[in-house]
Amino acid sequence: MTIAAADCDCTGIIRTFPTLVTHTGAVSDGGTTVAIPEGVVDQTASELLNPKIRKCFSSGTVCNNSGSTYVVKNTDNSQLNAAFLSSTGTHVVVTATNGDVVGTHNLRIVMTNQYGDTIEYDRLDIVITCTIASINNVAAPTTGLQYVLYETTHSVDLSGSVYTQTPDCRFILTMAHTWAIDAASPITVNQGNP
Amino acid sequence: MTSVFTYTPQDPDFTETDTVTFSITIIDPCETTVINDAVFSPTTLTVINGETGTMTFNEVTDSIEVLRNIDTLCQSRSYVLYMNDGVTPASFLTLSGPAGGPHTITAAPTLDAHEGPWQFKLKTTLDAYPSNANNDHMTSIPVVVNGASCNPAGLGWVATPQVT
Repeated sequence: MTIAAADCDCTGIIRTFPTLVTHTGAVSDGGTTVAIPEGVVDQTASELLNPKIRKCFSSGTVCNNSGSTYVVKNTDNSQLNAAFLSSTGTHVVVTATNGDVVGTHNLRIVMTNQYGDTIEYDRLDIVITCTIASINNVAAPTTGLQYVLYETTHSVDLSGSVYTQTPDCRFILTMAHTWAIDAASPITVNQGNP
Repeated sequence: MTSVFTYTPQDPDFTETDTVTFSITIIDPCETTVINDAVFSPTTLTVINGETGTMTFNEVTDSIEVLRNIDTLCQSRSYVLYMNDGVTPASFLTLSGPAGGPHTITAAPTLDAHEGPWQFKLKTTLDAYPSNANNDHMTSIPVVVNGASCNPAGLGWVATPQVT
């Protein structure tokens, strides 16, 4: 019986999962790019598994790691919110524009390889934070600032005054409004809608 | 208005105080109210020269008190009688009556020159609002002085000098 030397065949190559990458960003970042961690060829394990693979490495043929990746949510394998997270194949583009995306987003990476099995791994977490820097000061009303005595009750509508957080964290803040009104004036505040 | 915003989950706590300031102008409508014409009763004062005649009018109203249905909302008013020109004091008319009305205009012509139709003027002034551009309102007072009929009953006599 003659045992012939195996030919190089990378088909059965084995990969190890990459280490977890955690990217921390903020709403105010304006957009960042995060490299997608890829599985790495485990040469030792692969060579133990199959002499054809050993042949590849011993003959200098590299079982390269070429393949493609895509990213989904790890919770249900659903598509990412494209406006927030998108994949270029090698990177995830993070575009956090408002507080709706604040939190931790665990992503699952699906790597389809030229050699070896397709692998899935949860090794990319995107953490988005938001820190309120300021809130705009609204402009004083310019209409309805005149009251003629003996007319019916007059109200100054301030409901159009919109306070906006910068950046747009969309947090629910505690608001307290107080008034300083000339004690001699007949003006009062509607406590039901201060 | 001062607004305080707080968000304690943020570390350190977020706190911001914003203040917006505005003024509300309260306007007294009496400053621009329009004085109405006096309403006379009778509408024309007709009198015979040498006699007296009267006409009356209630306190003159103004537009804001009529609008709000509040009498003398713009407080007291004064009246002055003038000749046709609105400048010269009336010569044979007098005004009487309590404050707040009703008011009485009495004509007491005595001169032949008083006979004829007249358009005297009644000036109404809101005492508390001298800056009202509509103040000092003039109302025409129609007065007709008719000539007297011959009536010798009132002739005056003088004693003749003593005859010796």
